[in-house]
Parts: sequence; C-alpha cells; structure tokens
Amino acid sequence: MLFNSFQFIFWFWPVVCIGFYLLCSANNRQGAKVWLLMLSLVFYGWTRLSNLLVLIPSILFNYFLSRKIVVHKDAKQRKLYLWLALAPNILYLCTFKYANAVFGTHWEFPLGLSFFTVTQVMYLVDCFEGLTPPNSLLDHSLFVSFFPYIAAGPLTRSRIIVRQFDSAGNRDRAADIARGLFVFAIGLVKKVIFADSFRRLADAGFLQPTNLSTLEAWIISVAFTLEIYFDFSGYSDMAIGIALSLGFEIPENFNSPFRAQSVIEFWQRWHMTLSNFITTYLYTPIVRSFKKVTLATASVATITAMLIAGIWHGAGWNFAIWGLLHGVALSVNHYWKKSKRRMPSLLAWAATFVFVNITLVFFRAPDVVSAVSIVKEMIPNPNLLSITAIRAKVRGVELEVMLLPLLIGTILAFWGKNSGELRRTFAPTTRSSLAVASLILVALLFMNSNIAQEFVYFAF
Amino acid sequence: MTSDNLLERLQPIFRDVLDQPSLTITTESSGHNVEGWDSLAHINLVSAIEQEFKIRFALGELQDLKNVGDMIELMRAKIGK
Repeated sequence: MLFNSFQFIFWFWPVVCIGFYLLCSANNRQGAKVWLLMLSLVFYGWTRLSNLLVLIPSILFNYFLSRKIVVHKDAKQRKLYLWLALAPNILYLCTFKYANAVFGTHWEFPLGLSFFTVTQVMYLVDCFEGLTPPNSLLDHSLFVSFFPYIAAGPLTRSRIIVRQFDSAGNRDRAADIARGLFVFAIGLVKKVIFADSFRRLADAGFLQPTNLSTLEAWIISVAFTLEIYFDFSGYSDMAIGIALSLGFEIPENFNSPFRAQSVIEFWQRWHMTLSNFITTYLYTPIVRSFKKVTLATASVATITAMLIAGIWHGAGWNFAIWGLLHGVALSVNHYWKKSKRRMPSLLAWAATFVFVNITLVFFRAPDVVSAVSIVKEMIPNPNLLSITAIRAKVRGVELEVMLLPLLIGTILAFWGKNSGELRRTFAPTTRSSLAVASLILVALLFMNSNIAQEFVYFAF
Repeated sequence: MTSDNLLERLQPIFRDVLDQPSLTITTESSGHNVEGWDSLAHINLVSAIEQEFKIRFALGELQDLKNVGDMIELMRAKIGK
C-alpha cells in the first residue's frame, strides 16, 4: 500500500488511529499493540501477499536467535551466536538482492527487506552488547513490521521504538494528530507534486541519454537529484507524520542536504539513519580492527563501508561505483580537513553539489556506459545551450504544467526551511490548519490526475 | 566523580585529539559546534576516553554520544560500576 493513495489516506490511516486510541483509552495496551501489528501486516501484504512469507520467517528467526545470544555469558559463545544470527540475515538479503543478477531470474524484490534486515542487525548487536533485553514476540514483531517505517525507513532502533509501544497514545492526542497531519501533508506535497514533476523531466532525459547538450545534461542530472530528494524525504516525512499521529517519535532522515558544504557534511544531512548505521556498525568496527587509527586506515574503512552501502542499494556496477566515489570523496575530504586548508564557502558548496549530482547520475542511469556518457555531456561542449532534445521528449502540455512545481521545488530545496524545522515551530492555529488543508487538497488533486507512483526507494 | 570533575578531565583529551591546545569544551559542545569533531575524530576521542577512564563504550552507544553532556552522563554510569 502506498502512503500517497486514497485508500491509505481515507480508510487505512483513520481506521488504525481510531482503533489504536480506543484500545489505549480502554487501557488495553496488549490489544493496542496487537491492533497495530495486525494492521501493519495488512499494510505490508497489501500489494503482494507473498511478501509476508519473506517477512515472517525473518521476524521469527531473529526473535529466537536474540534470545540465544543473551543466554550465554561466556564472551566467545556470545560472539558465536551473534554471528550465527547475523550471517543468515545477510545471506537472506543478498539472495534476494543479487539472485536476479547472478541467475538471470526476474523475482520481484520483497518490500522493505533491505530495511528490516538492517534494523534487526542493529537489534542483534544491541542484544549482544547488553544494551537491550531481548524483545517479546509481540514487541519484536511490531518493531520489525511497524507500518510507518517498514517499507523504506527511517531506520529505527529497537530500543528507541519498543519502549514507546507501551507508552504512546497517552499524551496530548490532538496535538500529536495535528502535528502528524502537518508533517504528512508536507511529505505528500513533496512526493506527489515535486518529486513526480522532477521525475518526468529526469525520465525523459535518462531514457535516451545521447546527444544531450551541456545544459540538458545538467538539467536532467539536477532533475533526478531533486526527484530523489523530494521522493525520499517526502516519504520519510509521511512516515514520521503517520507515526506522530499515533504518538510515536521516529528519527529524522533528512536535514536540508543541499546546504552541505562538504561531502562529510552531506552525509550528516542525507539519509541520516542509514548514514548513522554505516558509521556505527560498519565504519567503526572496520577502523578499530586496525592496530592504529590513522587517516590511512580510516580511509580504508570509509571506502569499504561506502562500497557496502553502495551495493546494499542493488546489484549493478553503477551502485558500486556510486559507493566507491563517495568513499573516496569522504577520504579526500578528511585529508583536506587535516591539512587545514580553507575553501571559500560558495566554492565548497558548489563543489559538493556538483559531486553529488555526478554520483547520482551513476545511481540513476540504467548502466555504467550511459552514466559515463551523461557525465561526459555535462562537461561544457560545443552543443552548450540547446534544449531541443528535452522539448522533444517532454510533450508540450506536460512541460507547461510541470514548470511551476519545478520552479517552486527548486527554490524550496535550496532555500526553504526543512520539514524538521517546520515541525518544531508548528502550532495548531487557524492559519496553519488552513495551510495544511490546502496542501492536502492540492496534493489530492494532483494524485487524482496521476496514477500513484511508487517511491524510488521501494526498489531497494 | 562529579560532572564538573569529568568535564575537567576531558579538556586535555579533546585538546590533544582535535589538536587545538586552546579549545575549551562545555556540556553543550558537539560535532555541530566544535571544529574538526567529525566521525574520524569521534573514534579517536572515544578511544582516548576509554583508555583514560578504563571504560568501554558499546557500538550501539556511539550514536548517543551526540554531545559532551551525553558523554559525561554515560561515563558516570560506567565509571560507577
């Protein structure tokens, strides 16, 4: 089920909220959790029932193994069970992710597998380190399958959310629902209006990436960058808003990434929950495994970690290259910082943005060859400013309708307040309620005229 | 071991790891407002603190060490044991 669909907005979401709050009011905490779990499973299995056959074994396996880990006090045995638990999770993910590439099959990738594998890996390590007692079956099932974040995050740690299962729904419900609706509305607009507009532009260009002028190559590259930003941050906002409407706080995923003035800073602002996971559970153990922590060993750790992050997204060489480029750039960034050289902030910002754009071309292009050809076209060439190719691919009327969202979207992406900032200063007043209502109305109108588009990140 | 006490003992560690002899940290100091405190420096800071105070931070705790105040709180819990 998609957040940006009429069935979600008009029946699923209200039904979940009403049922949850009724059960909380009746002091039936257990019932409230079971309610959320049942509906999360409905949500997850909605588009393809067989997805449940992938999810449920994962939940059960990790539930049982986490208990095995904590039972052992001997460090060696504990570690053994940790790896006995981690290995199948990783294998499970790799099988679904790379089977098609390796065996030439065409299996559809199970929704959210990459995400609920990562959240359970974090849970298993937390159990191993004694930071959390193992979850009850109900808590664990709900933690893994909670519908606001199961599809594509934000990656939420078990110990952050499980304690909320027993306490949420008891504070100011009206305020939670108001703020949740507000954040959801922002996300919906980002996705349905902005992301979809940029997508059309980007798709037009990426479909046939040859013979583009310099301007056009840049337009489609920036269009995809903004598409994926609005798509993914919009989805994250919707997830956060829905969770909030039920009284739950889940982590933020984006913090105005295009304000970043370095690649290091970019990763502190883009897909923050994944970036935290990579730093804590990949980078740190790798760097600590060296005898000495130096810039060189840190670079090895960074590049390795980002390479893994790249292939986590998919089986193509283009993803590996994307990861490698970021790993190298981060390492170079660290050396630069150590040298205490300075760069004017405008130049730093531009360099960061250009770099991010180029790497995202690899992310989006169907293969490495077309990615390279687009990047080549981005270098100023004799065919500098023509826009005939794009005009030909995007039919006349479509372009006119898209122009305003494209313009507003671009301004907001670079200069607007982000959803986190807006959320913190939100107050339920007549003005803000009219604003939220208008946002949702406009978004619904857009939704009505397009077939609901899936989120880019559902593919990962 | 009081918080002020710990803050005092952290000053030379931060100055050394971040290579800023004139740095003074407060409980509000974090990666956002201290120059040079990035992921690499963070690892070195954590190692130095672990060695100095004979404690161990779990991987899962590293994300929660967002600022010096959080660090001190976690350190007090560990040193107490």
